Amino acid sequence: MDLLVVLLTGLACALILLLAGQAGRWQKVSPALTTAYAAAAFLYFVFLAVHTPTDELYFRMPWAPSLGLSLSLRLDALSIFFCLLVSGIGAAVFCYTSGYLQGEKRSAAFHAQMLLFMVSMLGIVTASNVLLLYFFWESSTLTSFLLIGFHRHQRQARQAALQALLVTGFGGICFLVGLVLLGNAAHSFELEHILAARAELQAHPHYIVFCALILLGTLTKSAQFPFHFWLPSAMTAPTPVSAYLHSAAMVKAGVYLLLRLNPALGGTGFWVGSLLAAGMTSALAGGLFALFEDDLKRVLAYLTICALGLMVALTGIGTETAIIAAVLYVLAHALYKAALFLSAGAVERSIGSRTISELGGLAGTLPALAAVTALAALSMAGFPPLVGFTAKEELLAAAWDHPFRAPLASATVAVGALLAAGALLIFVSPFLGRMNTRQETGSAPPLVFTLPAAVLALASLFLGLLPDALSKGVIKDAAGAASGRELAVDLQWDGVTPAFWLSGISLALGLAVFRVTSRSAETRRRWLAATERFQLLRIYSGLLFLAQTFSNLTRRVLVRQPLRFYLLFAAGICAVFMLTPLALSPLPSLPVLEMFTVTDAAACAAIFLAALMVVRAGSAIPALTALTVVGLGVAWLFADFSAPDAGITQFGVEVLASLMMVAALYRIPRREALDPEPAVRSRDWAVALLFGTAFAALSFITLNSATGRRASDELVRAVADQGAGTNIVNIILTDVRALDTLGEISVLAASALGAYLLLTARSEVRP
Amino acid sequence: MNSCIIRGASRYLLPLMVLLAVYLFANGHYGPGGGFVAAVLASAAAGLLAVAHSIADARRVLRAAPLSLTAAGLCAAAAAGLAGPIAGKPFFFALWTGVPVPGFGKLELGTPILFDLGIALVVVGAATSILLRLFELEE
Repeated sequence: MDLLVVLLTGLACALILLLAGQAGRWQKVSPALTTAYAAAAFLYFVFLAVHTPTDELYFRMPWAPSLGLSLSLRLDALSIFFCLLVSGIGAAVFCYTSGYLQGEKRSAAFHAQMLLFMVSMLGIVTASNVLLLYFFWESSTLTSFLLIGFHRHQRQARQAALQALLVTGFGGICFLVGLVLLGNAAHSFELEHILAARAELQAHPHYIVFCALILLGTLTKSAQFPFHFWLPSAMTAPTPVSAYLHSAAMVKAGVYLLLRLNPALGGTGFWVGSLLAAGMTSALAGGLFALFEDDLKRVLAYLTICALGLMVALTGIGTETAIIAAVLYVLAHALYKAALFLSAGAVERSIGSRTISELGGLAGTLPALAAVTALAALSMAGFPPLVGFTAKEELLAAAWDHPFRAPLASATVAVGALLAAGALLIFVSPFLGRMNTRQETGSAPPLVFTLPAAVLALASLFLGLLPDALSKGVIKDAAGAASGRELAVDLQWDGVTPAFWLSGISLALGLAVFRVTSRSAETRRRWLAATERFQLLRIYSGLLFLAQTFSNLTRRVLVRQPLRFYLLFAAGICAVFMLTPLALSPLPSLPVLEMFTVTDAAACAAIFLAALMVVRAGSAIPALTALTVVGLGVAWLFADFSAPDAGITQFGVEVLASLMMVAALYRIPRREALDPEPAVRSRDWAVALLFGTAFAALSFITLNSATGRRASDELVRAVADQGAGTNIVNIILTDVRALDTLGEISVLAASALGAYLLLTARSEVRP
Repeated sequence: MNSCIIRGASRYLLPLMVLLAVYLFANGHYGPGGGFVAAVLASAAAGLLAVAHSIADARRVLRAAPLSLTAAGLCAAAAAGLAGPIAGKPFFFALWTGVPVPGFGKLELGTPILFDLGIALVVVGAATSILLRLFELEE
């Protein structure tokens, strides 16, 4: 229950910020609110991790039992590990955001969106029902879209946000299909049942299908090859977004899912093979591309792809050491990458640029930032005694112990070298060396920028110095949960093992690679331009272009003026479909209505005459008035035939609609369009008569085939049982069929929004 | 519009229309009426106010931006539905309480009334936003 409280509090805070965000005073409160929430959540999870080591917090509430969906949340060791990461790094990032977004008008909305994202992430890692997990998965995709496109006036931001949405959304749909197949194969959508059904799942004939679909979802989310291209483009987002979503939280969701499903789906050739292939390719490609980039954040983005590739590959390998290494690497990467992003943002704020070739010698002006970046970069390169070194040792040990020792070990050493080169690129080029004369001399950034980054970097140091704290604590249980059995974890430095030598080799290689690639920015630019042609981004752009061309074509064929065209088609096809079966059955006879009085006859005559006037009117306003008379006549008939509710509603809507139509038609100049040529007129008459005949025939047949049972009988019974009033229509609308009405008013709201925008659009000039 | 006939008539018509709208809403569960009709009537009253006096007056009477009213209506409708699960019942389960009113007996309030209010707000917001915008374009 407490877990639900945590999630709901986050939602409530986000809602508060969204609703109250326009007021000025919330601009100062919002970062405090979000940081407080994240810090409180972090402390809560620490408390849980320390005090309930083996118990699992469990909450379940049935939501849609017929679909197999229940609101089940479970906190086991793996979930607590990720919750600690999400909330801890969230607290640091929110603290940083308070300084970063100063002066930004929409900062309350930003904080609300970040909070919503954090709640989605917490939901992903604690969901114990795979459909619920999918729900949180997609909400993280949506909030990521909003956050990437935060600077919505910039075209680049909009494009990057759309790219992220389309790629991860596509993966999400495949993911859903895969999850449904998985749930059907395991006969339950609850994780505990799925994880226990390992043998059944792996022997299932559709195993490869749902495995592939689920892998598609995770690979798109974690920006793996070939779906990695959205991550570097997403670097147009504000730095807190990059630090939180694209290094510590959202992209880790895919890795989390792989670790979570590993006991059930892992170990087969397909699983191991595809994860190794995708992971290692992403790692090598990401590391390589990172060295060609000139933008600090894009380098970090490619290095994230590289690190995630390593994690995916390790999860694929699936041995005990590999799983421990994967979990450890998640921790190490989150800490150092967030710190690096935060300091990159701080550099950009102080100096005004984040292009590496324009920066240099900043260690003098920004000493604190230089120290933080150095620490984090050393952790990335895997230098002792930082936690990155511990992770790298485990990683290399896992590669060395594997039967495929040679290819795996050499690939891992290569990736390690690329990471080390990237670390040197991040630190050496901007901070050491000569001061670049082109850069502005900036001042040291305020404490609120450097403090969170420093905390994260120092955490890398402390956790690296105390491997026992890690091995006996959360890592052990988390890795145990991910591999499905109890593990013995010993993260002490084992001395000079083969892994240590490999580590040294990769560091040396990294230094060499760095010396080669950093010779000049010019070489890097040329290599980047050379690889442009092979970028997968072009495939995405090509597909998008195809989709847009196709929809333009469809629009040109189907969307035509005048609007009369639609009515003609709709009425004509409807009439044909209704009259053909009627033509084959006996002629209906005129019904006898006992309740038909003189006033009703008068109303019908009025309707008929008014309809005739509509057709014969010379211009818009008289036609509209006559149309209103038709509506009022129908309202009279409703009221007279004991449907007073429908009558008043018809009356009111008629008045309102004619008000709107007069206002709209007032501006239309008089044209001869109301009197088209005789041929068109005859065609219109024919279709209209057919349509009217079809409906009249339908009504006659319906009235003649009255079976003695009235539809209202059942409704009266239902209302008498459930409702608490005497107006059946209203009770049906607001009580018995409330869900339908909710859908209807949503559509009404959406169409009002659309109409309002169409009416307003002409008066604003958009950039 | 500068018509003293409409202005004079609106002085009597408008209070009547608003009163009738409130009555139709309150009595919706027991007699003809309900949220939708009340909202349509209220929007027509806003339109009449805009025609008789000025569009700015109509907007001022509405007190909030019309589309915000729509959003508030959707929130109310969703909240009426979520009251059920919070009480452990299915989605959109109707919860009723009786509020004793001295001198009149018990006033039955429940989630369907809240839902009706939501419908009314959505329709008022939607109709007024389009109507007032159309009037504004004329000028």
